[in-house]
Amino acid sequence: MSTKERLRKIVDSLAAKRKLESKDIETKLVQELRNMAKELSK
Amino acid sequence: MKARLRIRDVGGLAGPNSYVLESGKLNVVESSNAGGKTSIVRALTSILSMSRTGDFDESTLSEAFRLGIKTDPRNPREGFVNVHAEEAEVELDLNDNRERYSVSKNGEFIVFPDNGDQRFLFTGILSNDSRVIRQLHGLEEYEPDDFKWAVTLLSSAKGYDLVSEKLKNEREDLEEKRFIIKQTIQQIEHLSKEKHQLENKLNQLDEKLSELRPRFSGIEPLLEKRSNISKDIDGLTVKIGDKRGEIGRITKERLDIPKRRIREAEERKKTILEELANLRIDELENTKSLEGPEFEREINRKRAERSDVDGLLNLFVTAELSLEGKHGTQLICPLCNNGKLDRDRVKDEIAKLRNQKQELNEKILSVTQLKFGIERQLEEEKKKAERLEEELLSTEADISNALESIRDPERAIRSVESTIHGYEQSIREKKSLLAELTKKISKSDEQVNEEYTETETERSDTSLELGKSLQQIGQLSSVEILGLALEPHKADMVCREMLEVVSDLLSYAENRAEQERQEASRRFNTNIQTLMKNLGFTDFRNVQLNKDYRLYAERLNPETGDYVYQQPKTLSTSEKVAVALVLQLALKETYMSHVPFFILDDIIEDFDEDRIKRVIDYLAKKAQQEDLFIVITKLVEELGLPRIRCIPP
Repeated sequence: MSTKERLRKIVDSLAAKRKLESKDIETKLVQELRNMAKELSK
Repeated sequence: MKARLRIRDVGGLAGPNSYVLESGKLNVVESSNAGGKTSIVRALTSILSMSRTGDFDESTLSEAFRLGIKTDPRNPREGFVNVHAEEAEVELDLNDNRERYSVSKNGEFIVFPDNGDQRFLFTGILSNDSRVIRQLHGLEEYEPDDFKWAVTLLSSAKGYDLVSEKLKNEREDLEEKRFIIKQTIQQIEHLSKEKHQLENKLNQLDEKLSELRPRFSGIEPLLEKRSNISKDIDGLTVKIGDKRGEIGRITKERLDIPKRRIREAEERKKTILEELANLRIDELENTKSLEGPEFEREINRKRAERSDVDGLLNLFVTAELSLEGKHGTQLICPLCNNGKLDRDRVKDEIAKLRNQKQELNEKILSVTQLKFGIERQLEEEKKKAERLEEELLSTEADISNALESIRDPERAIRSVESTIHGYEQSIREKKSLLAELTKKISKSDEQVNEEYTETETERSDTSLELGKSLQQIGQLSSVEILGLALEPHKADMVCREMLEVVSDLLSYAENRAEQERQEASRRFNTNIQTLMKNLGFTDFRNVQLNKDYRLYAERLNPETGDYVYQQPKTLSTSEKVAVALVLQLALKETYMSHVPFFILDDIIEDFDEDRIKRVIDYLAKKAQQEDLFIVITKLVEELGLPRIRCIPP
């Protein structure tokens, strides 16, 4: 699965949550973006 | 199917009350004005809408306040809990499943239901306080015909909107960061140019000093020595600047980020410790150990009393059977005072004993609930404590890891500082030597010496500037982006790539939100058309949400027989309520078809007789076809306590 697809899947799973909280977005999506930046910086 | 609703101290209804509701029928909640209809509706709505965590989204909270499901702190007197009680409790038994909800007067939740869905507040109940009706009356922040909130709030569009909001912030941060990185790169370029110029100037000054040296006679060795010392001092000055730059770089790359992590983790730890301190485990354990046995004893006492009552009841029922068909005759009975008992007396005694038994049953239930409530609350608090302890351990591990990770850079900085200190010491020694040599040389040729000294001073100043320049370059050579310390050009590349990723993801989330809204709107419109047809509301046509999610409706002009567009805000009160009913039913069909309850509180009576009949017929048929619990309230002035009548279609 490409990075783009993986990120989109994360967005879909977050949006489907019945009660989505800001900390869920922080831990699941923003963290993934941080990891991606780390990979890019290598 | 039947559902049993038990409530205790909800709204105006003090004490325990129990009601039976039946699916496939209309469940009519009847009471006098302010007699408790709405309290029953609130109890039922609360248990169907309260989430497992006991709280509401910001967008739903105001609806919960308006519908009286949650006590509004601004209006505590009209709370969910009865004014004379400390807490309220609701239980709903349905299909071998028991849902419980219990809340204290100060709004603290004790027990939450497992399957509540807060969207029920916007879909499953219609009262004059519901958002749909308030909006049509122009009492909401939205335009009366603007229903974008409904297709957003109730579908996944809301989730995509929240993600989009976060991504927009991330994009703004990255754009801001990129601007700073570009400025840093420009500053470094400028400083590098300056550094190059200073290095050239140093070379020129060295050449000039070489040219001046032959003009001294007989003291060349002294001169060369002084020149070497001076060069050493300049070299050390440049090195100090470079080393200071190195300290700046180490601090940015290896200290600032972990130190910030430590600060954040310390904050987190403080919050967790506060939450742990607020837990009431000891208090509840005490209550349980002190009152638990008392509850047990009370339950056993009441059970023994009930057993006595049962015994007496059996005797009187046997007596009644033996008196069957023997009017006026008397029976010798060992229970009564005069040894004789007639049939009416037997009937009175049976009724009295049944009442006593019912009271004892309710008392046993109430004490059991109290006991269970404490145990359940204790269990919840213990679970929470366990979770918090885990979080605390993980946070402490974060702090310890971050502290460990800053040890090395701190050691490295100390080592660089010690090198700088050595350089400074060396400069001081060399300067003292330099002064001595200058004194000796000045005696030989004052004029040449003056020019030589000036050039050397200029060289020293230039070296100092070069040192500063190197220090600045060192400090600027690392920038932070997304928690990483990177060289500016690399940071720029990462920032550019991340901006592309975030922008792509943002347009994906925005598009998905719009698709969700459109799909919700399409389903909603299909449901509205079916409902209009089934309800026989022939005075309206083409009721639907248009592409901007605005409500469109055509109304019959009785004079011409034509249907013309009618703005929702210009409808009469009764028409607004009719449209609200259709909208609310369509919202229920679209989003909450899995919940078998639909509640109308004080709505039906706003219609004319013809419309009441059509609505009732439709709802009764719908309840039967879909096995739904349709609950409607009805004012019956002569009633004392409220009751629920289950009326078949």
